[in-house]
Amino acid sequence: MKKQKIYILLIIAFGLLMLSGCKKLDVSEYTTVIAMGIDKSEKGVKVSAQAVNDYVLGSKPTQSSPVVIFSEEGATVYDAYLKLASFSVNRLFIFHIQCLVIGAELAQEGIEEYIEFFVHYWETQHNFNVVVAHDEKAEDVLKMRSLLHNIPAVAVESKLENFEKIYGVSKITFIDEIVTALKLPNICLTLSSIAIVGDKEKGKDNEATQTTDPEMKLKASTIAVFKNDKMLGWLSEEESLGFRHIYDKIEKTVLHIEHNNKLIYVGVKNTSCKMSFKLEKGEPTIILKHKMNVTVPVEIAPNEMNQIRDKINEDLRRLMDLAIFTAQNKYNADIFGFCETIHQTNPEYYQSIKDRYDTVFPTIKVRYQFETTIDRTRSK
Amino acid sequence: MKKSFFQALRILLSKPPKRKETSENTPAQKYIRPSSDTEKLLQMAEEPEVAYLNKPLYDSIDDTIAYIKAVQGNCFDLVIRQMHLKNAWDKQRIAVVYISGVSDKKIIDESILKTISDNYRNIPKQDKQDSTFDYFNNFIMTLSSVRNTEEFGELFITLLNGDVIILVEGVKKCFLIDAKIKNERAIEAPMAQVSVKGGNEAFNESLSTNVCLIRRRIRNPHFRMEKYILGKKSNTSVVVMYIHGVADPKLVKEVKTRVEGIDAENILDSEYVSFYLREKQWTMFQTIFSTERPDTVVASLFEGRVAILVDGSPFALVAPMLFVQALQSPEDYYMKGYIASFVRYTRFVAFFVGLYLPAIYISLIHFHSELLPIDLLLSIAGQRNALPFPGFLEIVLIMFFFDLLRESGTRMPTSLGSSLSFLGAIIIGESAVQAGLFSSIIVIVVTITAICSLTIPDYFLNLTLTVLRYLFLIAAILGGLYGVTLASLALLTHLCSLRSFGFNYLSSYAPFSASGMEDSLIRGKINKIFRRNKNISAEYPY
Amino acid sequence: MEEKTLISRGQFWVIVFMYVFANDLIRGFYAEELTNNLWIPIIIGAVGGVLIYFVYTLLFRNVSGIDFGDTVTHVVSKPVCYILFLVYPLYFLCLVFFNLRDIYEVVNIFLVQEVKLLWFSLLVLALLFYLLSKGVEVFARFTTMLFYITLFIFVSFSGLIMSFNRIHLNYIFPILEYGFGPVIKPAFLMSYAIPFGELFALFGIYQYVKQKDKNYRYGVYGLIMASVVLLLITLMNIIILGPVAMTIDIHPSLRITRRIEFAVFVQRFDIIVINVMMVLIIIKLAVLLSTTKYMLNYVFKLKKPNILLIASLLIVFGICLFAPKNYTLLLDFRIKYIIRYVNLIFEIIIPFLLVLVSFFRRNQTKKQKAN
Repeated sequence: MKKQKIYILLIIAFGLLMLSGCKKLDVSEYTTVIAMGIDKSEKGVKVSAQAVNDYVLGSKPTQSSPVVIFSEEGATVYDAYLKLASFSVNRLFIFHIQCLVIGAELAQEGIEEYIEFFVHYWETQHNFNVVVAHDEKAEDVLKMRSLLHNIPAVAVESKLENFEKIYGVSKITFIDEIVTALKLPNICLTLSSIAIVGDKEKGKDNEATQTTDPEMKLKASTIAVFKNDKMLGWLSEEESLGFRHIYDKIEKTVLHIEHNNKLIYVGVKNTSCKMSFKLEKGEPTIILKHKMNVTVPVEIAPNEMNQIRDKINEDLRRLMDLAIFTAQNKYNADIFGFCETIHQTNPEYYQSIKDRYDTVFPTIKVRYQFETTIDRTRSK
Repeated sequence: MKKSFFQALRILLSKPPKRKETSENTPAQKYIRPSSDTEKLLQMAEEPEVAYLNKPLYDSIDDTIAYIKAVQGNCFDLVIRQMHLKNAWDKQRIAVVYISGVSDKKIIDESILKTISDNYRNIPKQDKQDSTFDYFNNFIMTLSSVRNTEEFGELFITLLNGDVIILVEGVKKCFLIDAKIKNERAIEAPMAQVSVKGGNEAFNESLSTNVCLIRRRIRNPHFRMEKYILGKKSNTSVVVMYIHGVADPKLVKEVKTRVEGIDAENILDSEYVSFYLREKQWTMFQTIFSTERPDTVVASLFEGRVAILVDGSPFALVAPMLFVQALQSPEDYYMKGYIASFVRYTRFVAFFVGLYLPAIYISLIHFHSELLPIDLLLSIAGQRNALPFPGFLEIVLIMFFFDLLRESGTRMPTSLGSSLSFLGAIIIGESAVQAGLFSSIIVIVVTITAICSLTIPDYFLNLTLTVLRYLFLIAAILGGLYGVTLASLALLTHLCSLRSFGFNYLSSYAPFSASGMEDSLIRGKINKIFRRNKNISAEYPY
Repeated sequence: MEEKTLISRGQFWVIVFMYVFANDLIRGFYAEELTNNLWIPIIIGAVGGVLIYFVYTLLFRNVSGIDFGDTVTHVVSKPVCYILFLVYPLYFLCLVFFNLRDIYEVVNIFLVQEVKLLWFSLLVLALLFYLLSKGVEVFARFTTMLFYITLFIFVSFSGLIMSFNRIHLNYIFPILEYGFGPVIKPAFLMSYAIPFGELFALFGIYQYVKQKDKNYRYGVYGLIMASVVLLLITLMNIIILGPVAMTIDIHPSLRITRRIEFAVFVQRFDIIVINVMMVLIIIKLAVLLSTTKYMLNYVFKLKKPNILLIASLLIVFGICLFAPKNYTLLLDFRIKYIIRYVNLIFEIIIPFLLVLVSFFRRNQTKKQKAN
């Protein structure tokens, strides 16, 4: 028995020694990529990577920039990504990628082939945010320095999250959602966007971080509408807000009503919306059941509650109508997921209209059911 | 001439066989000094070492004394006093032999010799020679602990234990009277297992004091203590204790068989005894529990375990041991149950942290950097940029350095103060960081590891962890988290296959027993802990 | 079998649970065909697995031999028993190879990229040798300890996954859009192959359980609990990922675990899940190998059965050397031939025949006793 144990130990030791023949890279021996961007170029695609200059981060703060941008062109994304190695000192690792920026031009061409790489690549965490650059190139977006956080990509990510939570216009999209939207027929993808406000050129310098009013700022912006993986256009701010009210849950937003000839803001919290489908007299109807909690900052008498509530619902309805109108008529893109609701409640009907959905979608009627709860009003 | 120990013990403890009187033992001859044949005596002394065990005593005192001197050499503390006792009918010559370091001179002078000489005057006339001896044996009441023996074995052992030997001329027996001096360390607080609320007595090196400490806590007439003398050369006393009726009889029998079967040259410490007692399996973990607190021993005895005390060692052994005991501290039983359970959880977590932290650190940095949050990752990367050593070498060096510090701290004479204490280690680490040798995160990692592993109440498990940590570190360096998983599976297999006196080492965890859980992960109610029996007196596998 | 190696019924329950739970790895097989209806064949397959297990236990209840080998010898004659006990180990070693390859793929892709198959299998097989050379009792204790950890991780991760992901309950609908047809065949395949099948190897462990006549139910309990767990995992996958994202890769549970990210350190937990999967697969391999060792020992009756263990490990290692390296080919081969035919023969046809014959033999012995 003892002999056998020695044999096992020898085998294990030998095996472990052999395992060590593989290259193990230390944390400081590779370069972390925080954000990536893809753009259109003549060869195919241009991939830019925002890499962290950790040589700077460890020691005391210096003048040099904490991030570096590389870009390289290639026929496909993987090709260009590997070519980026020609720029960097160490290997590039994209574990901690925070966001992926898609250039506006590329989005209009079609993103499906380029997204493929990020879907299957095992190294990423798959919970990074995918955004479109608002009428810009992704590379330029990545080059912008930010005042509020050392590393711009983290700043971008935080801005998007913030905006999603606070006002409700942005939308965090993970890569799985994109795959789902691209594969299922009839459903259309939506992505948030990032815009550059101000002068692009001056934003790259160091001086941008040393004034109180930098020349350029990055801003989380409205929602882009895709159809069949091509971008069709943008929604305006109000339309984006209405879209988000229908599609997602919003933590905090605002609505406006008129009360005593004054414009009052109404704080809205925790919205949620449920979709259901009914065939009313042969016409497809979607019923939207919307819930929210509001806070009204003026004094209201108890018998005025219903009035105020109706006014709030009116404002909300206006937003949602705008969004639905744009989606149905301007873009003819089912961004809300109506087709999935139809598929889930009434599969046979869905089978019948699946092929001619483009003609059916603009005719879908929408009915609203609001459940607004007024939490608090200001009292004396 | 090697007689087995068992036989020797049997002979020692049984009644000596009657020896026939030879013709030389006539009354007149006791006054004749025999020839002191030095050569013959020296020859006797060169016999194999344990020849003295069964050797019967000589008739004449001089021969006996000569033999004692021959065996012991010229020990300067061996005191031999020859006296003549006289009464109206008789004159007797006796010799008083004792060793001055271990026997109390005061007791000898005042109690023993005085008693003997006073009472000899009042002895009535006896018919035979030996009856004087018997008279002494039976009628002198003022000496309480008197025994007699006919063999050199018992004579030597009791002489060396501190008793006084009284040799009587012409008689082949001698008196053994208890006169031990107590020359030992006072009862102090324990060194390793200190408790805040409970009592703070610890065993010391003397067997009688230790036994007395336990006796004071158990006033149960079924409490058994059996003494063995082990070690051919060292003749150490070993006491096996158990409570009859509470302890599993098979367990007791097993322990006794193993103790009796110990065939050792010398037994210097309880660790020697535990070496012979434990199962022959290759392991780094302790399978016999050792403690220096009497209250722990007493609690174990009431649970049904068997305790072993060794003379000269302040650590008592308790058999069998389960793995949970290494994470139990006596303090737990002096607190409320919920708080004690919480403290136990922290100890449990500390055990795992102390074992795994360096390995996980290395595997996170080298293999799976995705597990680190982005800010921590970047700061570590920034720190590690300009360092000379690669990651694994760094951590091996600094762990080794901390182990060296721990060792030197134990050996540091107090005159140098506690300058190299733990905090000093951290300061040294900080200077190393500033010199650019290590990164600061490594110092934190190793410090946390050391602190966590010191939380474990059982000091010996701490030392085991020190070794295991290196093995896990190597596994992590070579294989990342996958290597750590395989190594922990191997360790778990090893732990599952350990046995302590037949009981599974991981008894209360697997197989799962709800009543066993009362004292392992949680500290259940006090009345439930002692009532459960499943841990120990379950079906004994032997 | 000596008196010493007895395991309790609770331990047997735990072993069955872990054995079936290990099959979680390969659930992605049927996800392409039935996207959001994947939970239906799991329920049906679980019921089928329980029924098959009951039929197996009839064998033990009819013929009460001490050993597994003695039981089978009693049912069929000795030469047939020997032939069976020589053929089954080959089948088990085949299963061992496939499972090893599965876990190697996962580890290779997600965990440590540079691991080669040979060294990976060498280490795992060495660990298995160490584990099995200690005996069944140690293995049972080992499994119990790991059960606590696995259960804790499963419960806590499920909680974390459900809290930090967006749940779309309507992904379950439409139920059975294309009717029962496409569901039946996967359900049937699931009950005797993965995930609820391959239960025959458990009888190498079952023979050590105390009081076999009364405690056969505990295997069923283990099976039911494991199927509940698998069902929960499948439902979580469907709810969170939806029908399309489920089919991206073959281990959807890794995808949803990857999304947990809240406080600073809690992220990228799929690495822990991979480790747990590896542990479970090691337990499954240990069960298969111990049954192999027992069967071969029954035929050859050696004094030191560890040699047989080494021989079977070497055979597996040899298969690893010479088998095709392309995982997709292997998967294809597995679905087309192994699951359809080989599993069917060894898991259903032969054991059912044994049970049928055992009925006759039982009646015979009873008649003999009556006479």
